Amino acid sequence: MTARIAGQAAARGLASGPAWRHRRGDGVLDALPSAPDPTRTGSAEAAIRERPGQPTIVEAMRVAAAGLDDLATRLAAAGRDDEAAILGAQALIATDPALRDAAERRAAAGTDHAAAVRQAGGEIAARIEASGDSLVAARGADVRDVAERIARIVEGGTARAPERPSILVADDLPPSLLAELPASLVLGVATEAGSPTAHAAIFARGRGIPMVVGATGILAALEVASRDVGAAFAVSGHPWILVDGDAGTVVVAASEEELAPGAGAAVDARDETRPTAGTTPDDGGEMSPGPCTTADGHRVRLVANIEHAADADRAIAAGAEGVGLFRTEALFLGRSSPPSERAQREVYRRVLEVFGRDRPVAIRLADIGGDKAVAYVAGPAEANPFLGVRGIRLARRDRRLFLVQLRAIAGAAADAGVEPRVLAPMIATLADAELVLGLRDEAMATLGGTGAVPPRMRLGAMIEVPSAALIADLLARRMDFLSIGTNDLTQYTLAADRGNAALAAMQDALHPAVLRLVRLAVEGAAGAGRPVAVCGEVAGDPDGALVLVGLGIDELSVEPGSIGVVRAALAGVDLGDLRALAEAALCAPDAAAVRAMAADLRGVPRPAG
Amino acid sequence: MPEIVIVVGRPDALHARPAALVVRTVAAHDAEVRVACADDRESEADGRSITALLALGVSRGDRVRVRATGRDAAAVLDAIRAILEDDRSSPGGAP
Repeated sequence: MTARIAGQAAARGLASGPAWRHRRGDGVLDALPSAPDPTRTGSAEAAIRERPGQPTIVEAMRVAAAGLDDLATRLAAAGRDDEAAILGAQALIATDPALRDAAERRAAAGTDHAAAVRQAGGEIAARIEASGDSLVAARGADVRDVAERIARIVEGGTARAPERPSILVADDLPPSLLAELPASLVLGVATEAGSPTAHAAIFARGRGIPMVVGATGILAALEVASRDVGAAFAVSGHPWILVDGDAGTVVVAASEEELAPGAGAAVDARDETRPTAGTTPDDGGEMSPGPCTTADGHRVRLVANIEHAADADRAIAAGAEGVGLFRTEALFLGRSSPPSERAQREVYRRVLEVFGRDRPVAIRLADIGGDKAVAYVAGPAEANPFLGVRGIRLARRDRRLFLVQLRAIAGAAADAGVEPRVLAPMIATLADAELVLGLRDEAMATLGGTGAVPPRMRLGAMIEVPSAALIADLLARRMDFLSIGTNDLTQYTLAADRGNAALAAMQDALHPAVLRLVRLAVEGAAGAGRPVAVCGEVAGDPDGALVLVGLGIDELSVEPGSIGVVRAALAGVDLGDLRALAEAALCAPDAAAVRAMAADLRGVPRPAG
Repeated sequence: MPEIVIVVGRPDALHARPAALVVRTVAAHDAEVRVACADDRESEADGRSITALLALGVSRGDRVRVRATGRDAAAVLDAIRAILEDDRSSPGGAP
């Protein structure tokens, strides 16, 4: 098989070669320290080694910084000033007190040290990505890159690098990897995510390595190519990739032989609905991929789940018609005081401007508390945080927090010239709905003197608690729209903690019990003439998308990377078949059976197990 | 505590390169420095932390409030002012 995938050109040139899949954690490793840091004066807990010979967090940070500084010096000596600056900044991140504190705090609380560093990196990166400036937000990738390097030093993992010159394929390439791998081993690069202005692209251009980013679907295509039975009989027997850094396209083939001239003309379902990406890094890539429909023309709205301003470009490039869920927790977590109205308004405004009037954005009020604890709204310790004071319930303890956020959203919408849409988390009762309505009215009333008055704010209820699904008809009469959060809905319905590894197999939203609640929500919304979307993970899963549309869901909000896959899955089936699938799913014995039915309908091999 | 307000004139504002400059400058002085957006008292960042500075989300033309304590407080404030006010500096390649 061959698949031609369009992305964005990030570094010019043409290259082809065997695919080498980079996974998080691969790469060159720095040497471990031989003696502890004599100047260390920090917390005693983090200074403890988890195991003999394992570096402490601070030692690992010091080693990472030294390695990055060394690389930066060598790059500067070679005249690669931009790259030297990037790695120099990474060296500063490696010794950043905020990163150290965040990691040590988690380690002191009992988290394993490498995980503590990774989580701290994620927390700090999220804060930077939420700052609202897309150029700065891209530095979040550097923080994650550095945190990963430090974590690898702590856990002493083995390095993994290509053995022969290869095309690197990854979800997102860490900026420092290209600086470390010998240039002779890297023929080209293709990534699922990323942008032409990302640091990894700068490194590629500096070395004349062709690179395509945002090649949505490439990881899935590579999976399929790796399983292609025919390739086993070919001489090379290894997936082969062609990277066209001028056109911004990638061809994935099951073997070198299949990548003959003209093989690039082979088109798969993804390509038919793929927009033509820009060919220069500066091209904004505005495109209209056409509406998502089933094979017989039933329209399904495909929108995106986003968390930072930086996700917006990716979502639009993938063809998102809007945002079904803009998570705002990153603005609130990891701080000692709440974000100001002005700072929030700025962040929301930028996102709303990017999507514009024709692509509505639903912003979810901060879903914090419970397991996502925040110092400034802390209450008494809870035995069951998932069943505790979280989400909208916090408004009964701190009304002002939500009033400020609502005003910021309303103001941002007025600034951007769009209609504000807000989602309320953890709605469980009609009283919760009334609470949100009251907050909205009060926020709008007190917004008055700060500029243009925005149009009426539309309010949606998250349906993630079973009670909400069961009274969806009553809620739909009070709210403007509903959005089903299947991740939490699954855990509450099956009474299985999402974080409990022993119960991981139960966290499948395609369980008939959950599907029956989805059906109730659909019927409740329909009865009141209100739209209902699904924003949980299962919406981005081809099996899930089929079942949900069959149940009557008209809007799927998914991770940007899944938009192409869902669009393709729906394009191959008729609505009538989806409805039959949904009916059968409601009476199926378990989620596995539902997935088998969906897989049959899609014409793919049944999933194992 | 000595404090100044700077209008950030650099085209690359407080992106990675100038943020790195500020952090290195603070490290080279015997002083503790805090940087905040002038209009947002809650956003204070430790001058030793590049990630905290980046998270401020400062754009060109914004005003920042910089405070310093310690032996070199006055010198470090002057140095930071020089870094951020300069609107003639070229942003170079990577921000």
